[in-house]
Amino acid sequence: MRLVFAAGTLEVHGEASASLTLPDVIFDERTGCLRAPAVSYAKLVRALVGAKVPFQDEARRYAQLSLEARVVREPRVYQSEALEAWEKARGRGVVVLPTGAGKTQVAVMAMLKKQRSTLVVAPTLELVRQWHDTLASTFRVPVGIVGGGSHQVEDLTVTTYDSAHLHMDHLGSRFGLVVFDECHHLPSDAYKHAALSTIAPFRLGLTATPERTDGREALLATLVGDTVYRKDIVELSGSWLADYDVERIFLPLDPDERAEYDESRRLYRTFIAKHQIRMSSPQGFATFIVRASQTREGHEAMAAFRRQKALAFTARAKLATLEELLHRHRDGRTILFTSDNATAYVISLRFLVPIITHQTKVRERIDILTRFRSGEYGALVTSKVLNEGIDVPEASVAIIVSGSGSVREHVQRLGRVLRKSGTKHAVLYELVTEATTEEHTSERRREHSAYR
Amino acid sequence: MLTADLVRTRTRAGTIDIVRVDAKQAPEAEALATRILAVTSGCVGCPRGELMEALSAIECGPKEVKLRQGLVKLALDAATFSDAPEVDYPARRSALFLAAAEARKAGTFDRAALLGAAELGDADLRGALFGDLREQAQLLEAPKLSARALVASYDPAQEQALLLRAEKVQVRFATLGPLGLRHLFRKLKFLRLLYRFRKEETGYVLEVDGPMSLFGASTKYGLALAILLPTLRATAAFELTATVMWKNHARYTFHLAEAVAPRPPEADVSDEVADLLSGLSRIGEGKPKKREKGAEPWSFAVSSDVLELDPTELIVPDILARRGETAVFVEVLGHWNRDAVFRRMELLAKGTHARIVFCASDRLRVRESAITLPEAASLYVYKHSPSAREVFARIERLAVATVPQLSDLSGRSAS
Repeated sequence: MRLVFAAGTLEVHGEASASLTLPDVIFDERTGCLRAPAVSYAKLVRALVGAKVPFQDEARRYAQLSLEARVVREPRVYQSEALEAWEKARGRGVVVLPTGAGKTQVAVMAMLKKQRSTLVVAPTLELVRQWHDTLASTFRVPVGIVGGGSHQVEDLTVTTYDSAHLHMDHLGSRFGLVVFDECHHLPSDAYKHAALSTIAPFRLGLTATPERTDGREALLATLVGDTVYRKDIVELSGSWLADYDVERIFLPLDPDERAEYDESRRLYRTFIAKHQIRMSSPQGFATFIVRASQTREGHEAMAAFRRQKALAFTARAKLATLEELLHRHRDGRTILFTSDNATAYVISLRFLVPIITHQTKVRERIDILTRFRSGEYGALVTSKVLNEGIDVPEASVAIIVSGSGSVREHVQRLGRVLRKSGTKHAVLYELVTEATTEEHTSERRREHSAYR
Repeated sequence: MLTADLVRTRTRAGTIDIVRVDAKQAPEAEALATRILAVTSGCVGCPRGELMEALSAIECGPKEVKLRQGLVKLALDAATFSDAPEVDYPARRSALFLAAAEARKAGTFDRAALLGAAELGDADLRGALFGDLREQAQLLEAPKLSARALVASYDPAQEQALLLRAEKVQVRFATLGPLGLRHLFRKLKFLRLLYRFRKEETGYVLEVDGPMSLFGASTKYGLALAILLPTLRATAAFELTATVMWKNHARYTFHLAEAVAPRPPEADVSDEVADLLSGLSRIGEGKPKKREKGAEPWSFAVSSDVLELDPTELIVPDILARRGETAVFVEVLGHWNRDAVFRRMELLAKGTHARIVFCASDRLRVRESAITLPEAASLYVYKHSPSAREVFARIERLAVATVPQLSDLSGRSAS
């Protein structure tokens, strides 16, 4: 028998005895052979070996490596425990550790243990670059990049989820270990194919927050493996993560802002009540957009909706506090988070701080982050793209100017400043405009042990 | 192309159809298209953000919201916006933000003074600092389309967008000529789709999806299936049946019939291939003195072969060079599909049963030196257009390479 990798699947060629049952295999009339999804490779090989069926493995194209770490870092206790738990699960599973706890080190340890060609999949180009730099400085081998205009495949390669989804049909046999960083992204309809289409027998998922609002985290068990190890922020804070404070600052609207806020809110609420739109339902906002685009009254309601949000997001008192905080922490490294690009641009223009959004080109992002790390920039503003895309141990202040009600987003933002560095004490400020919808949003996102 | 959320659909008893612009709605659709084109023409020279705002203010009835959005999308696709600006905005931003950071650290932050020193005003600071954002791109040219033509393009675009959510597609052709088939295969291979092709009494049946579809329905190949639709339209008259995953992951059947057969393609080669072919023919004819004694001359023709690299990867070479029993194929990959080059190179690295020269533009950012190929294959990266002399030299080199056998699968489709 022959196992062949074909476009994200495995083809089984040759005569199989009637008594042999191969897992996940279906006869494919189109090509006249048996076919299995690539993710079933390890299972399939074990079944063939177990049944003592001789076979030719033409699928496996990954190499056995002799990786050596240039710098030997003594693993922390929980990192060794995580690796041990992962190995016990046959090298397949998810490790849940808070941001800054050294998930990358766990991956490096797994790579040293398994010594197989490895693909690291990360959600953003920042993280791809970060992984590339880490792997290049740790091992004496070239590290490839697929994505962001590069297509260089090496035994150690880093890619984005987008590129993995696009290229796994032909790269899926090249790696024996795949590390899915921030693996809560993986169970989406598109990205799951990045895991289904690779034969990698060893899979490591890394995340601080595996839970998804759609509940699809259960799919991780099939795509990567079960959760084999978990530690929370509060368990590591002080010892392995920086100590931190969370400070919520409530700020009032000025009287004229309050009057405009209330009027805008009344206009918008009247419209949605008239059209019986339930904004809390999953389709609520989409319905509002459609209805609002139909009439002049709708246009006005949409403008009012935007205005009341903008008033809460960039209230004068909020901007004044921001000025004060930037001044107070002028010697440190501060990241300002907003919930939308519009607010991020307002802040960038007002305080003349660099901005990173999805529109910022790779070269400029790199330049901004490099200067931020070196201390040339003391602050930068971003909306959501850096929630999980920046590793600056020196950053010690995070200011949530505005945000969503997502617990994950809030934990990720806190995580940006928790990486231990000397005697650093981190602080997360949350600026909340009083008596606006921000109060409720803030309560929702704080439903995590890190904020109790 | 429209996106799936812009398609107007109607579902009934497990079937889905697009809501077409019928005779009754046509005047209203044309009026809407006229307003969209008028606003767009009026905004030439404006930034994209302003144009979008002006377009969103066009009012319409509750039932025409998606129609308006779809027509706007098609109009914008046909419009021309400015390329990247000449001003180095990132450098301008960096200079200002660095000065500001330095002042803040020193405790001397003064926004007005910093802007003054950078010769920037507060009035249009956003445009002056972020002029390279997409919303700032300038509309250079309005679409060269009549309102009627814009409306006419709407339903085909809807049909195509519906296929973005397709899991598999079955197409029936009453008749199919060899040129049409070659044209279709060419597209299928680029799209990495798997197909079953069979001849029935009433014609041909083509079933298209991807390898992974065997293990569960997925819209993974939806984009490829949507891209295939214009090719089907250019191939022959057909009847299409697709399984489409629509709202709430429910499955529906979509039927589409194109009764009018297109004019068969006369010469299925691009200008680039035609130029290369005539260049090769000239060189082949002009080198008799250099030929080994008794050796036959090379002949060059448009290839009608289909070569199989693996079951999902077919190559329809553009040119067949033949000298006696020796055949060398040439495929011009051009400058549009970088991924296709890498796929081919990876599959070729496993070995090939035919001699083949791939010509890829340097705009695809591939390097010959970075890729190791078997003896019987060659990658030629060219600037501007492929040089016939260089391709000929490679053909002669490959002619002496050993290959196990020539796998001509041009009959693969017939059963």
